[in-house]
Amino acid sequence: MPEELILNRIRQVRSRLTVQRYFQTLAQLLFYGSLACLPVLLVDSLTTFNIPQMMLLWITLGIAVIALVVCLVRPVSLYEAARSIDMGASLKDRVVSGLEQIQHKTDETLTALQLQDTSNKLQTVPVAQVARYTIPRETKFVLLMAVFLVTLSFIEFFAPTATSTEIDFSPQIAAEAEPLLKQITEAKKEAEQNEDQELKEILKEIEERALELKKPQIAPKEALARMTELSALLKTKIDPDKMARQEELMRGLGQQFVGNPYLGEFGRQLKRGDYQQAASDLDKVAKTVPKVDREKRQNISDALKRGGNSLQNTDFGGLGAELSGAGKALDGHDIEGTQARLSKSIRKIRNFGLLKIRNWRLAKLLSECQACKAGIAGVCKSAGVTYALSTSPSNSAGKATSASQLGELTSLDSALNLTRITGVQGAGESAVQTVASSPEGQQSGVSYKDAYAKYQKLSEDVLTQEQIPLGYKFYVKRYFESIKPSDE
Amino acid sequence: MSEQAEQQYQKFRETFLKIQDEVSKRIVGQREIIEGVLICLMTGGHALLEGVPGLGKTLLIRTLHEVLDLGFSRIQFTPDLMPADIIGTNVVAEDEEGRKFFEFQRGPVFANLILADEINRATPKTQSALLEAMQEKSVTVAGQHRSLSPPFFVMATQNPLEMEGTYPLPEAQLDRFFFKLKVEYPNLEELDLVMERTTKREEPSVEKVSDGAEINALEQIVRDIIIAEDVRRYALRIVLSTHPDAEEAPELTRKYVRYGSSPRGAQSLILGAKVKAILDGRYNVSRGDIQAVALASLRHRLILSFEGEAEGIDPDGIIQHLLEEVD
Repeated sequence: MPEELILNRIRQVRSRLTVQRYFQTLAQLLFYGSLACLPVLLVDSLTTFNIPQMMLLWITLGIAVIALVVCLVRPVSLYEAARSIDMGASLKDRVVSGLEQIQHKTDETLTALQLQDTSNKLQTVPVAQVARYTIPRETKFVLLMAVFLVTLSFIEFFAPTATSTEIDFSPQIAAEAEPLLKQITEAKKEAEQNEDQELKEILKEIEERALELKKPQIAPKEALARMTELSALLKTKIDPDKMARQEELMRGLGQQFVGNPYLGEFGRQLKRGDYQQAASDLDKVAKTVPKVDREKRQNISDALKRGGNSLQNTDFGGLGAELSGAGKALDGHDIEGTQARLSKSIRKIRNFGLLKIRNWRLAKLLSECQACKAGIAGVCKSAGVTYALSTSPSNSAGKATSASQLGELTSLDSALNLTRITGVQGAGESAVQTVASSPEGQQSGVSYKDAYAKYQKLSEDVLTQEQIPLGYKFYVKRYFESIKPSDE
Repeated sequence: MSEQAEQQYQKFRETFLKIQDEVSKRIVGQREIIEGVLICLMTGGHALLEGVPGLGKTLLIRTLHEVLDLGFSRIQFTPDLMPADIIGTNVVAEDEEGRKFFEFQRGPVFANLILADEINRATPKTQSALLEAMQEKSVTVAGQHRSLSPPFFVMATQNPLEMEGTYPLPEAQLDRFFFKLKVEYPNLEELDLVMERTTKREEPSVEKVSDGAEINALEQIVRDIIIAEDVRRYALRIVLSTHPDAEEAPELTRKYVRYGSSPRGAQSLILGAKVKAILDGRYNVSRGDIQAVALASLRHRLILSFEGEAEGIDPDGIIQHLLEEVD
């Protein structure tokens, strides 16, 4: 039966086309996948960003599955296979026409003849000829990429003397971390002494991360990552600008009290920045308040109110309110109230002192942390080629200063000198138009009638002298007619 | 049944080739033109031949008349030719008893093969006299409808060189021509052969190989040829892409074409391709058949835009471009 033969051949070709399409799709997806992965691989090679070794294999398998799904969702149709046979074997649409006759089951006179003719032709056409397996064009690029990746992998993971995993840098890293850990221990002791609970918690968190650097077999990349995290954490805990602003406020407050016979020492300590001592001095004043006479009380009260008011609407608004409140309480002879308010003020000053110490300590830790990170980075860089570590580090860095940091003074005179430049008028002609009155209100100084007369003359000259198509002359004339002044 | 059909198609091929061979005895070269004219004849269409004088256009149809044993009329179109001169008119006649009555005097259109020579020399009014005859294969005179006997085949010629005193064919009339064939100047060998045949005492004789009845029968079987939906849609996409407003239209069409082909163009494309398929020994139309007749079917159905006319664009170039673009 010709129908069966035709359908069988079409199905055979369809199977081969399906396989071909799968590999074509796979090659295309791998091609685009490689293009997308290339920048990531380059970044991985040039930076510390580390792609897991099996990741590329998983991506490839994923692409293969996607290609399969694509082929299942969009299978090769019988029509496509028939078209492919027609084109591959130059059968001049016989198979497409035959397939249509079979599918629509037409009973025309020519159907049998056409099917017979098609089957006769198909018998001589080998399936492999019309659906030849070909290597997709993209394969070359994908293969190149694969070779590149394998080479890269070999260099990165298998080359015997050039791998970072085989050399253990953990002793160097631990050594780099040692000063940092020492600093943390010192800070912990200080926090213990000052009973600074918040600093203790921060230090605990920092110590946990810093101790990771002492882990055996730690890779430089991981150590660097820990240091980066630690630096970021410390930066969130320190605000040097705010601290400087607040210290300036404290110095200002101290200045308020320097001339006062009773609060002078307190003011001086504030100015010096010794807040613990300042707090002690104020405590002494608080204790002596019940014993002083009326006049002295007035003096202390005035100084406290003045100092407290100077801190209004600042970061130390609370301290200011307490000092003012103490002054007012003293005015009202409320000794207990005064002492209570002064006591609160003392606590606030002590807390600020602690905050200052904490800030200073954390800043020191940050500096140490960055030094440690730089040390580890030095280990990584040297590991790139020879793994040679510097045995003679320089101690002169950052110790010398230039003689003239701002450079020499400029000799440019900044005084303004005005010079009048006079020119000579040329001998040539120039067009001068005298306007009777200055043009005002957006009106031209030349009358429309004069302008029209001048340009009408010009247009007539052009129409007679220039070669203008006959058809256009009419329009030019009509235009000038239409803009003619109305009073003419 | 299928054997009988096979014989019919075999006969079609043989007859076609015989006619072509006989005509070729007188007409040197021009195989494509002869084939095109015969395709028109076999599908019931009409052909418009364009070429400079002296290329054998008139000789071709005269030879065809001799080969086919069909009624032949030649109408030389001139500016003063009137419609009645073509289709005929009622004249006063007397019967035996001396009573006068109107009698229809048939015009030259009442023949099987009509040669409308230099058709663009007549006025549009006269040219339009052929409209009804060409499409309906009948004429109406003084309210009386008269059928023309099949096969009815008009072959018109026009000269592209002389524009003075000519009237370009109206679009409606152009559309009624199945094919427009361009007669090219012969090459050296062909010209030599023409001289050999035409400058001697004896002219090559031709034999009658077919007749009107056979042509009518062959015309019927052309339409049975199978055309797959895919191939038919390919032909229709080509036709649609000649329309500047159609989605399928490429940039070239949008820029240079004012109006595209009518549905008659698509009919011509498919019927012409069917004849090509038979001649190739197939029972189905292929895309190649469509492409083979596309130029002759569509070139006179494209009306160029002002830009197209101004830049001297050839419709053949546009159609070639469409064949490359349409898939």
